[in-house]
Amino acid sequence: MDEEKIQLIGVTKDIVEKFLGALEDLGSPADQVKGLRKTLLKEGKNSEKALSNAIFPDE
Amino acid sequence: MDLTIDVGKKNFVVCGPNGTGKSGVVDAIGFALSGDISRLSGKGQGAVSVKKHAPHVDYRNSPDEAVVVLEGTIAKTGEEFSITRTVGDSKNPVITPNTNTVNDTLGELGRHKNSTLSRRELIQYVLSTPGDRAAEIQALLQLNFLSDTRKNLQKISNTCARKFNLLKEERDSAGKNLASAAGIPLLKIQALLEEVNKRRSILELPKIVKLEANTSVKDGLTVVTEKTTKGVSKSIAQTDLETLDSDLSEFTSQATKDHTLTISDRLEALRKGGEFEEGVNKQSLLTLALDIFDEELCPVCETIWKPEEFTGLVQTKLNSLKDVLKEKGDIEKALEKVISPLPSLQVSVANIVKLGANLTPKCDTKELRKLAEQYSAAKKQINQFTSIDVLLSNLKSLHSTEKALDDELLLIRGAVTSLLDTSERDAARDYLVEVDVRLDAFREAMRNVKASELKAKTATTVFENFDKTYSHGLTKIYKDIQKVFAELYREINKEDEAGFEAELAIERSGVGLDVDFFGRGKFPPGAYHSEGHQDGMGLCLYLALMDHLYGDGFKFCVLDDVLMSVDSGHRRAVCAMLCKKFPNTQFLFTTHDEVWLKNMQSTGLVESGNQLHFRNWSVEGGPSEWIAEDIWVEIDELVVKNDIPGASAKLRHYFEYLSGELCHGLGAPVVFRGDSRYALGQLLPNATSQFAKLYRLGKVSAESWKDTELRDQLAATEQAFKELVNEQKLEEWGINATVHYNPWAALSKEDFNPIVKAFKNIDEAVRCEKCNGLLYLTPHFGPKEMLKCDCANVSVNLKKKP
Repeated sequence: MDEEKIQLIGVTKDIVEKFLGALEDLGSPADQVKGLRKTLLKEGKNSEKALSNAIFPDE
Repeated sequence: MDLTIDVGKKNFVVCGPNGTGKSGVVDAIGFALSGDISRLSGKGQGAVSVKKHAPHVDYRNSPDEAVVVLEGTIAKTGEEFSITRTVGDSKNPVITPNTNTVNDTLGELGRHKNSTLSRRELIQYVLSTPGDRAAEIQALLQLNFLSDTRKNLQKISNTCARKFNLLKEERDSAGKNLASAAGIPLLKIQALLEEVNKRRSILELPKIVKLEANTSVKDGLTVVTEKTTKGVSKSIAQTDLETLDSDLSEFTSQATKDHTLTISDRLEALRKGGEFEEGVNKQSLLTLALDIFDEELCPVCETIWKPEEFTGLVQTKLNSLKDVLKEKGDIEKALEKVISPLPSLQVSVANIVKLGANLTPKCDTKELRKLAEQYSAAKKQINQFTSIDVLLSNLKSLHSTEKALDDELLLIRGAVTSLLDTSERDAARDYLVEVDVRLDAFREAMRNVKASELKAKTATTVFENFDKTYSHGLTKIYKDIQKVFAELYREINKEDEAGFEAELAIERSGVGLDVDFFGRGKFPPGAYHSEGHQDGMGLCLYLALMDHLYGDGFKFCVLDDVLMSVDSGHRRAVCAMLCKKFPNTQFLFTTHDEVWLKNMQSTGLVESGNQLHFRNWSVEGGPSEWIAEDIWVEIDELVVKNDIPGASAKLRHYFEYLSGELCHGLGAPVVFRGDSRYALGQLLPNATSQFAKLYRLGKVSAESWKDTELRDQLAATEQAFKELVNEQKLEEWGINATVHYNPWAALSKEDFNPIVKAFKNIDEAVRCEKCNGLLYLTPHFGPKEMLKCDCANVSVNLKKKP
């Protein structure tokens, strides 16, 4: 089954935004934060594979 | 059959006795939005399904003919849309226009199915277990996405950590292997360089001062003969044999055997009970089921489930196995000590297998290879914790060695001893070549560990950050929700529970809900509160959740007979609360209770025309509707048709209701009747008299505050009202006479029209011109303070200046 895409709204979206902000504040690589933003917020995906690809974009 | 309902853009109510098709309207909306009908799918529905049972019973084999068309407007953009869905192809609705906003909005409504609330669902928020409540709240707030994200980030972090540990083991083995070849007890750079430089000195090669990342210990060796690369260095072979002897001796020592025996005894005891192994198997099955659940079908029996119900159920079952899991964790920890020497042993064995192959003639290493396989399998099976039998079998044979192995090693040892002693120069050269090979392997293992460590750290940082943000966010969410929940509940119970507080707390097993009970402490809602109060709590919690999720975007909501057990006093307050707190949300209500309908209308929650009244239902024709746009329009129509008894009965019936509402709202004294069956004459005079009295009180108050203009205005209103009441009293006989057939009272419509007008004037006089709601007294008990309406257009102060 294809991974379901969720359009995040409200508090769920806020928590994801805060998480990404915290990663940026910690000095995480820009491409990692960008990848997670795209995966979680734009594509609405959160499978292990999708997240792993976002965290380790060079693999 | 077709049924078309125009609910407009304001609140709407579908009313009718049980079994007239109200829930069918709710089902149709739910189906149009999601392709699903909750009461025909999910847990406990057995053989009932949308596909088979959603169409009309006579057309159950023609699902393509069962069609719902829903037309609406996207509140945010004003865009009008239409969604058409057939039962035959429920997953592929036709949506027009095909724009992002329309698709996103309808997709959101369809996925979360949270716009419709039935009483069954409402009670789940209040009376369910903490785990079930958490599942409901999680599903409503999309928190499943967050908990799944957290779970998957933790999986990634754990996988990286496991890989890191594995690579560390490989590095340690490679280091031990290097130290073994170098002839040093522990791998230390200085000791390694000393040994290397001894050999280099024999070969008259320059000394290596510092071991850099790319330093080759054989640097300068110009001739590396065939014999050297493939042959056997006697000294290294002897060192490798000594290392294996030492490793095996430690692994088969009595102390190690005793430790393993303790674990075996514990496992034997657990096996006898039976429950432990069953629990471990269940845990494996449930964990696997969660991993491979495809958000729809149970991976075992392929029953269709709502994702949150399935994961909630499996998680509850996993939680019930916590004792088993703790025992399993303790055993796994003890087993770690047993298997930790295995990687190093495997390297030692592999070195001798390689040695056997390089000797001339070759030495048989069958037993060694068997041992290597046994170690590899034991490590895998112990890590997997498949069954107690498998574990015990591995543990039993792990520390013993066969005589055949001893014989095999004896032969290899003999072959190595019989090797010719090489010259000091040859031995030095063989040493440098072998140490260089093992140094390269060690460096590679180091690089892998470093990369893996960075990866593990990154994954841990991402997971820990998410976990922290999620936990903080969740706590804040629950605090915010409990605040709004308590506010809404106080709003509908302000007369008796003005100090109500609630606590929504994250517990290990889910989300706990405790509510204040008249200042005596906080208890679960089902403990002391009545069923009606619990219904109110369910509605308030649902609304608080929706408010939190959507904020101003909470635009549409279906409440399907949700407050059937709330008493009439609180129903008015519920209506007022919905008007006040959710003025921008379009509610669609269903109710079988006429009093509820009237409450909604009298409080201004639903305009009198915005209703669909089902009278009855037949299998052939479905629901039959009676649209009473306005009681006065209906009465006028009956008068026009010369149905005076009908018009009179309706007028009387309406005024019985209205008088009751007025007596309640104005606090009018009424002679109590145990059966609550009040006649019009027992209510209407009391209501109008109280109404006039309140205007008088307002007049006295204005006088005390020296507000002569207001005083005069109130005096005029009181006088006008009294005149209307007098007129109504004069005409009242007409209703009493015409309800039943009386030959002497056969009034014509011309005779009856003044009667209608007199009563209609009273109806208008007791309402606010602006919001059309009935005026009422506040507070309901105690000294009278104000006569007002919900929109505050009318607010007459009744308190005199102190």
